[in-house]
Amino acid sequence: MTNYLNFFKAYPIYIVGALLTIFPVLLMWRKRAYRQKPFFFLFVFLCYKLVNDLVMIHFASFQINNLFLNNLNMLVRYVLFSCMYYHLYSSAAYRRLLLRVSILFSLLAVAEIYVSLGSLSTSRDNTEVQFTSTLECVLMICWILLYYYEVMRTLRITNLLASPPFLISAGLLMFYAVYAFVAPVMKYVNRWEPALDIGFMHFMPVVFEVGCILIILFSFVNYPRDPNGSGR
Amino acid sequence: MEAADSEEIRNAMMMGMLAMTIMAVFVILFVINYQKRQIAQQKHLRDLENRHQKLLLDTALHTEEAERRRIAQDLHDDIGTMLSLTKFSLSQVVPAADAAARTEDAPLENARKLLDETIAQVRRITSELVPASLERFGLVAAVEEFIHKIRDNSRLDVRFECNLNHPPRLAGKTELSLYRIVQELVNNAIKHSACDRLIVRLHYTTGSLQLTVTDNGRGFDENGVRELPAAGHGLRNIESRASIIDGVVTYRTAPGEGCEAKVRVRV
Repeated sequence: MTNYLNFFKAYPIYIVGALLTIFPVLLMWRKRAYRQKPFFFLFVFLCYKLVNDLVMIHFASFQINNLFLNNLNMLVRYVLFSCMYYHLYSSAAYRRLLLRVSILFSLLAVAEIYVSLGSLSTSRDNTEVQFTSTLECVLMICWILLYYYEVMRTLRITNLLASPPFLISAGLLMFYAVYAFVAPVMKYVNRWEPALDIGFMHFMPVVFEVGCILIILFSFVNYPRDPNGSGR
Repeated sequence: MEAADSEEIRNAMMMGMLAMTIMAVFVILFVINYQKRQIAQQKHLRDLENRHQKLLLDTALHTEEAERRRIAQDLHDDIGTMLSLTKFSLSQVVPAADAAARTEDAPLENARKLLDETIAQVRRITSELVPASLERFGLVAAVEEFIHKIRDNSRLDVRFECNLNHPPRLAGKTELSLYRIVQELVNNAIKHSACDRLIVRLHYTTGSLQLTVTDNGRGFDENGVRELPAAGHGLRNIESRASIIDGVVTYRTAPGEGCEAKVRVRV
């Protein structure tokens, strides 16, 4: 218990980020939003994120290396969000493109995670999978922009501010835009000689993640209980 | 030195993150703004198209009414006058003929009867083409006259009800459109519903008028009828006329349950 309290005192933002995920999960469950295919993948991701974050906090509290979980989280996050966008697109060409690129990316991510397993024992080099992390951000930004382009072209959503997919995409775009910049910088910050202290900037991706979770929560507040009530 | 490096990197990261956030926000705002403009533009185009359609419809109906008026005038002024003159000439001939010619079966007497019938038919057609009472006395009088004629010429139990004794006069176009709608609805009921009772109601309220035509006939499947090109024509005609005066037509009907057609117009 002392370990958890110490961790909470040192890194409260991680605890907040993990526990905040409960609210969109409960809201989506209550409104049966997961019955719609795109939101089903979001729901699975949120559930996975909640469990993964709690396990990571547990490991971190007891000083156990949790980078493997962090690396795995990147792959699972990408796959589930890709599935969500696959179902959000109405264009078959976009779906095909997303599917092909995602298969290639997943193979690459698995390879990098596998390679990173070897470095987990060394204290200095056990960094995150930075290359695929950056690529994930770039790809996700592309899928989000492609979705926005499709929305603008087809005009199928009349009120964007009341549309959960649009708001979720807005939250994800903000998160990935920041993370795309942070991920490569972190790679060098971690290996800088002597070590660099970037202070609170280290937590900025988590801050944006929390912001994204709040946007997801907000997007489902006015979601109708009828699962067929709101479309893409 | 190390602290300065860290500070510099921290500032650079902050600037970078801020720039990325601003870019993301800009993209989101651009999408919202673009979408809003596109939807407004589409709505504007739809409104223009609707207005144009309405104008075309209005012109078509106006042309139809003008043509009816011209035909009615030609019938009355030319054919009617000619028939009256023929009747007069015939009446000059008949007194001069012998007694045999004045009997019931005589060809001259038959011709005179046929002529009388033709004159009556021409008058009826003229009055149907342009109801004179509509222009002179208004919608209620015209509908009353129309119902009266239906009652005289059929065995239907036709009733007309109006909630006002002295209803206000409406715009000419509104009265004419409503009169034509009544004609179409009543004729449809007589032709297709096999009803034996028909009620036409006009209900005036402040700012609106509701016309209801109810029959106890066989009713119909509204969606099914709309899909039939010939049968749906009558319904479309009624709706077109109603749309010209910003009226709304609704039907409450089902097979075997009669029909109640309502037209609501703002006056």
